Amino acid sequence: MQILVTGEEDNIRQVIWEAVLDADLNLRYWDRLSRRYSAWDKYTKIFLAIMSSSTVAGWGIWNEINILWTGFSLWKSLSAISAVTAIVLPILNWQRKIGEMSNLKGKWSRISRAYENLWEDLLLGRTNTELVEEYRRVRNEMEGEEDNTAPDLPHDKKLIQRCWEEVLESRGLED
Amino acid sequence: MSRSKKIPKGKPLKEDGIAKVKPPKPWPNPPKPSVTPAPAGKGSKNPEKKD
Repeated sequence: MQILVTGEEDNIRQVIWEAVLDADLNLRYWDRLSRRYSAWDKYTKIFLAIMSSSTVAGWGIWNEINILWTGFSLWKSLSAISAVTAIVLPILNWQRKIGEMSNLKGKWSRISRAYENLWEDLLLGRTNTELVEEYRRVRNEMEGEEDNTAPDLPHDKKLIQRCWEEVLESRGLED
Repeated sequence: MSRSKKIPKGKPLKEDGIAKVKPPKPWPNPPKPSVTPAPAGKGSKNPEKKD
């Protein structure tokens, strides 16, 4: 028979609860970030493809815009921007970052599910020992998994704040 | 002379394991467990009696 120690139970409840919310926060953060970079990557490539198209360059609309904005060549300015973008893009290496962020999103999705299951087990009255064992397994094997992610992934404080608010809102915990 | 290790700017806080961001503020406390009535004859934590 399980011996109920109130303090110990409260501690386990608190630790698992925070793990559930942390995992949810990380899942949302890496999801948003990978989506944002994917969108930037897509639009940049579309822009470069358009600028490198001789058909688009030959459109008469560019001359008309030049007439409207006297002394300002829109096409030349866009060409300069596209040249700089084409140089900078490989250095930024968004493709690698997108891959790593998507990978992190997948990992946090699995961790989040594992902690959600653990929280359900807690509510269903699973014993403290079983809960602690399972919590340690998830934390050590899944969260503690060796990570080869490069150390230059973005740390967007505003996005973290937004995801934090979303976590609270989704669980009806907002003030 | 020892120097403290500088954390690269923009890097998510990463200890051992996979990259992890931390909450900007502490999380609210977990919801209290619902109190279920004790089985009849075994005594109850809730001393309230119903007529």
